Amino acid sequence: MSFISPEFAIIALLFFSIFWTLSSQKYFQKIFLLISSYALYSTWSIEFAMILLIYSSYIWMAGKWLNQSTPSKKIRLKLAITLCLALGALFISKYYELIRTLLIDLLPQLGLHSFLPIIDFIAPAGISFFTFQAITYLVWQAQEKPSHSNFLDLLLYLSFWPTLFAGPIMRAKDFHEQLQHPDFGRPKESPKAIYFIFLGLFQKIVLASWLSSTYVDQVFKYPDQQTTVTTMSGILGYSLQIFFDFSGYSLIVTGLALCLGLTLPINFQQPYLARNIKDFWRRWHISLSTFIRDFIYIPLGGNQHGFTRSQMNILIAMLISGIWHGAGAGFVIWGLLHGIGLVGYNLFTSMFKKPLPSWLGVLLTMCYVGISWVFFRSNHLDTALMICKNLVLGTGTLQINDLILLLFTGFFLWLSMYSYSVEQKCLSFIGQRNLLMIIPILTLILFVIILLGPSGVPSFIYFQF
Amino acid sequence: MKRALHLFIISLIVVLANAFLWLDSLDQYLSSRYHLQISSVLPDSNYVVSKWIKVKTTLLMKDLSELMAISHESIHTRLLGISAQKIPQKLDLALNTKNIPQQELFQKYSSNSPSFHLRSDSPTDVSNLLTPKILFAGDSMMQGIAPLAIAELRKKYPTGLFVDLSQQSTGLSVNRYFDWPAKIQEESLKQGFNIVVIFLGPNDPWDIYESRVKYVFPSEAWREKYRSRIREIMDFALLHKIHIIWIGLPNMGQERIKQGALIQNTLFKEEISRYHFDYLSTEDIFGTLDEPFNRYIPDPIKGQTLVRGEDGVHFTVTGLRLINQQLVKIIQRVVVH
Repeated sequence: MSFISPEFAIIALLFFSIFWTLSSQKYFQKIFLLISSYALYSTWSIEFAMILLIYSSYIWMAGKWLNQSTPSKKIRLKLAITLCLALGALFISKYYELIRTLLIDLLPQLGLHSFLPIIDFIAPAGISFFTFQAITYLVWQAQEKPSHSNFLDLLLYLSFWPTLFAGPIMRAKDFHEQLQHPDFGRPKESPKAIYFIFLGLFQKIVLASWLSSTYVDQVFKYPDQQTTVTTMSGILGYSLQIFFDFSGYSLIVTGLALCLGLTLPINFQQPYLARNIKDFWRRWHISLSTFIRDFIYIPLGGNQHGFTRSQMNILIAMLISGIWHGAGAGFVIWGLLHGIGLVGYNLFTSMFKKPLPSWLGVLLTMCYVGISWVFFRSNHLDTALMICKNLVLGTGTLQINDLILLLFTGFFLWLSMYSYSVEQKCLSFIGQRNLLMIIPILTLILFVIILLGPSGVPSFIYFQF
Repeated sequence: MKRALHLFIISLIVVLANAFLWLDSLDQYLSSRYHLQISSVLPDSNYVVSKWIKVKTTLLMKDLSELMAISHESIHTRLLGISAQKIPQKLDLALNTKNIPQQELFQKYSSNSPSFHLRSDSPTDVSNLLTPKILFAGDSMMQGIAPLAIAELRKKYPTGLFVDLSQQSTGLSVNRYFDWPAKIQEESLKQGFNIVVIFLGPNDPWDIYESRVKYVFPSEAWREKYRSRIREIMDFALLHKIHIIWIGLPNMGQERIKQGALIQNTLFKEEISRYHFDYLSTEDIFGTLDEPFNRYIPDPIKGQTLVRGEDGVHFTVTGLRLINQQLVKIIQRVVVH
């Protein structure tokens, strides 16, 4: 069930009325939240819910084992074993079939027979996200040995419905600490919650859907029919679409989490204002990029072993980031392009001390990120290559739609520079108005969102990961 | 607690107010997503406001898009010095074949329709089509096939017209909000298609509501109602010398859809054979519907190959390519080079 569907809106009303009524009884509130999370997950598949329960039980036992181990060299080995097993489900469900197919193609050329059997295992929704959350839990148990974690809290953490399907990736320590806080279970920062939910709905339902249907879908579906101009519009459109789609999703779930009394990590900070690729990764999908930094890049050695080694670590970390999105050549190339971009930027800054003018930096970064999205979005490598080829054909003329997109992009970038003050003004507006004022305004806003949205319920791009 | 109450009141009123204002659209959504029709239990008076809003907003959107088209032309003329394509004139789409007796249609058109060969009856007969104008109609399954087929057909027939109108969550059961027979008629008249490829069905094995009558799936009455909707398309195609290629449903991983596919394929095949159009059997590719569902099929070179998606309905790229190969072969056979 999607967070932007009508049935979710109705069920959420019922859910919150019960959840808030239980606010004086935290234990029952947690039980109710857990049941609702599993119930929501079961609307996708009951088998997925069973897998999640079994997986959470394993993580609980592994965490307990790590927690009780005395600090020694052995704990690293224990952590490595538990992490490998924790990653097993993700590996089998997302990458096994690709490896099996590759071996089928490669081994006969070497005169060998493929030996891997079929494992018909369907990837549970959100597996990439709850696996990474499980990793933060295991590392937390091994390193800090907290005393206040229990099985119920872990079940809640891994199945927490606002973050279950597409993040943001919340750290175990952060989640468990917030569960103990008196704020948990009651709405906090209500104006912010309302602002986030409505802004997220507008970004996803109106903007992302408009960009997708007007500029993007045709370019990626029928690349052979595109001119250079339509291809450029498609790439720019997709760069904005994926931002509005994922940022919209993140805002909605952050708003919903605030209604539950929990604060989720910020996932986006005006990424298209980034002046270089390094800056982009400080602003884009922040919960993933910080995870990659803390759990891959730094354990690989980070920047502690010289320039060359640190660049290798960056490439590996970005490659893993790409593969995490899916088992396809497009994701591998996307990860590598970002890795190469980061290494290239580091080389540039080590050679030239003076940075580029900010407008040029923003433009170049946006172009580079846009080209890399082509590989991320294309279903086949052939499609991506054809789109890249279209870019150098020099065909097509500027249409009204392309002008609208350019104007929209300019307006969006300009507004992004003032996003903080816009947010503060909106929060103060919502906070200072009484119910009689705010209800008609919000009703009208939702009316307009539905009016401008597509028919049906659009799906979120990041739900597939 | 006061904060929670405030937030709850706000959410409740905002959601319920919009549910009322968009009741007609909500009904449409629920019927296509969950096969529930609240209109069958709610009095029509509840829909007055939402229907008014729908009419007004549709007109508003139409005006806006026309305004965009005019601006488009004006900018082209002023900035680029060329004239953009004229805005298409509205066509009279009132043609309706429902009232023409079927026997009459058959007698009138099937015997002397020169455009298409009759696959089984006259294999040597060829069509006189010079430029294929093909409409791809269907649900999310067609959304997978159409881009592959169109890409290949464009190479083979550079002057051809290929239009993909597939739309997810559609079918023949619910025609109140998305009426495929009407859509095919409208678009064929507008764009002059001479071939229509249809691939739909998984959204259909549910009760059909029409004029407050419920046709329970899979009763005999349901089958006849469903058959009548297939015939609406066939009759129109016959009348306008349009060739139909109907892609049959493959084996399914979900029991209800599989049960539906068994019935639907029987109906598709019967009607296709009756009208002498083409039927592409996906059962021949992915295994018959009476076999247990399997996401893999044996490949003589690659061994077991994954062809079906995780939901047990859709296809992997390999699966789509297998259907596409067969589809393009049929189209090539229909069209004269």
